Amino acid sequence: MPRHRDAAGFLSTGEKPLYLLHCLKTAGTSLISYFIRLYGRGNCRFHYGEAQSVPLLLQSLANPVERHRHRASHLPLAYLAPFLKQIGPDHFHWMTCVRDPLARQFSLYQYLHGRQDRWGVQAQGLDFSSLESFIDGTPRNSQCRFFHASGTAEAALEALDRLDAQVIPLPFLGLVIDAIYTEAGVAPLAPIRANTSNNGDTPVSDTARAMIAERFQQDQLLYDTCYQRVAPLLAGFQPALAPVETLVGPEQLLPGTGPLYIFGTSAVGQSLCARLDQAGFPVTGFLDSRASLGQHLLGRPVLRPSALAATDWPHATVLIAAETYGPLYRTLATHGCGRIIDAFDFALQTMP
Amino acid sequence: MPRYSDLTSYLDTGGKPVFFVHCVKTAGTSLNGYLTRLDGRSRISTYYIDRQYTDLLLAEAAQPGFYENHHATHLPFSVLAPVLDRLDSSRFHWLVCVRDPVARQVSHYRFLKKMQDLPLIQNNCIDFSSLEAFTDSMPRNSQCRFYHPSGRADDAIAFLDGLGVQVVPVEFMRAVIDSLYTQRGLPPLREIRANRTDQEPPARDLSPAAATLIAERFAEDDRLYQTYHGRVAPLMAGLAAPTPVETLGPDSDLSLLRPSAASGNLYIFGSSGVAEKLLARLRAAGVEPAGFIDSQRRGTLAGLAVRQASQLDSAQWRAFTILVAAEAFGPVHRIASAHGCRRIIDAFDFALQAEVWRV
Repeated sequence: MPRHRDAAGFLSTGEKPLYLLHCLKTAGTSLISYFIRLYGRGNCRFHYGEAQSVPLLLQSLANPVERHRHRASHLPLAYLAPFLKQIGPDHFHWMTCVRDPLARQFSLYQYLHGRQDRWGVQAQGLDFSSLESFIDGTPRNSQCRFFHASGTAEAALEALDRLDAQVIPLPFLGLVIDAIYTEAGVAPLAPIRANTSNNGDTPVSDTARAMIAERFQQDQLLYDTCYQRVAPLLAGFQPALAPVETLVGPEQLLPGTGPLYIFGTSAVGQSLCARLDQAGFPVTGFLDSRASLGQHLLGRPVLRPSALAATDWPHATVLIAAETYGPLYRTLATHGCGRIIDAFDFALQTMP
Repeated sequence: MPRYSDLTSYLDTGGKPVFFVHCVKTAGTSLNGYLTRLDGRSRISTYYIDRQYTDLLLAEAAQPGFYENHHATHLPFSVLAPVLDRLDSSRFHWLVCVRDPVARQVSHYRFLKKMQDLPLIQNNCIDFSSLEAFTDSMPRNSQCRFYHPSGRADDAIAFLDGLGVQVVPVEFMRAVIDSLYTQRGLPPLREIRANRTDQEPPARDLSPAAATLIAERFAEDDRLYQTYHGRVAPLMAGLAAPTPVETLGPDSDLSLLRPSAASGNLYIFGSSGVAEKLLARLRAAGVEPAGFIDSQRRGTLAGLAVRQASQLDSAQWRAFTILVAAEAFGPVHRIASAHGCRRIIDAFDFALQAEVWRV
């Protein structure tokens, strides 16, 4: 089981494209956000909704250009199993998250409760009158069943191990994401929380706890087994690169000694520029990999990174205001940029 | 309880359009098929899937024609009820179906099992390994909860009765549909079956353990069903089925349609792809119709004339046998019978080559 021999073995992606087996309510939406920011939306393919189909997945993979995209889907592993000779561990780095059943059920309850106006939730006829009623009307051991139709932990683990899947207990997801970024030569991001259905602190009754323990016994076994495998490996682990500085407010830019650039010329970048102007932190210019000669935006020059003199880079502060963070970070790091700040989330908040 | 005081009151729509609130697996897809054929697809508004929102329904309620059309939706009454005061609910004949929980659970199990490839089913990791496991995965008393959020039969019944809803136990659906047709001056259709998951008897999947589980988890649904069955069954006792319209079926002898003095000129009413399919089937049987009739267009189709219905006089109609190859059976039948058409045969399902006959 080389995947679980040491931290390096557990974290290695083998530089293959990633495939997230996304079991509902196991932080997959957040993980997808990290995929997008690391690789860019154009390098990712998400098989959800109408695209959640094995034939469509295989059709996409038959295109040589598409084979190297990173992917995620809610397709249960049992549906993919017949095709793993074509798309198995030789091709993808398979990854999935497992979650403590109590936290997952509570999250699922909150998540679906907030979506009762959607036909898919209405069609299930779920009982939201209490967490207990909700649990009583949902399938048992649904995490295990996502990985194997039997719904047993043993069969689920066997299927995942055969796939050499990186099975991530949720408490270790941040470390795994940081390791993926580091392996790609990119400083990790500050936490992203794409899905905010898990912020409640409503106490769970003893009855609900007992029901979850009874109905999700195999899921608990799956989670505990994976946790026990991974926890010793990642004890004390620190990624090689420190997290990137993240903009939380303009005052963070004090003292402003060198030139201040915004990398990204979309509406997000422009909105950030306006906000910084307003706060008294004038932006020197914009950076854009496809800038044309003499281009200006909001009265500032738009430059290709290669247009900046090597001597300017160590003094420059660059705010990344683009969703595709990974390639921009690498460009800036390669040029020896003095200070790189991820400003995407902050910039989004400045949008009208 | 005037709705259930006698058979006439129970069946009476008051001439209003039907608003069908469609609980999953209660024969609603079939009922929608009949409603569509009753007045045509343009006269039924449906609120399913991406249209299943009360906001959309209310927006459409402000549009002309809303109160003239039939409506059908999977929107639960528990969701609709809070916005009913923003509709003029008295202008609709409200209709729902209720079903024996055992038959419904078995049907639901078979239905979803066949749909396992759908994302919604996959995402929920429903256990299809047995009816017992499936039933244990499903919310309790889901019929009652569809009608009232408490999931209790008493509350559901109080709400449905308060709105004057015609609650149809599935066994009596046939008679209710026939009545919808006859109240509109139409002969009933022969059976159509839009959804075929219920072809096999429930007993195949029903173990004693499953029966016990369903009895325990759907006790309120059973009370709901039994209450309405108890009300409706006595009203329906001895009700004779009206004669349905003549219909082409898999065993029909098409040679009898060959033009003769008795049958008059044979025309296909409709000029869509379905009508063309029917023509092909007739020609394969050696029957050559005189042409097509359409309510809108004229011209030629497959080498035959398409005649506009309004251009034909009564003498011509009286000589015609028409095969209805249009979904909108009601409007076509009204045109043809108003002009004295001698023989009207419904051939729509036959033209579609409906697989219903093979199951």
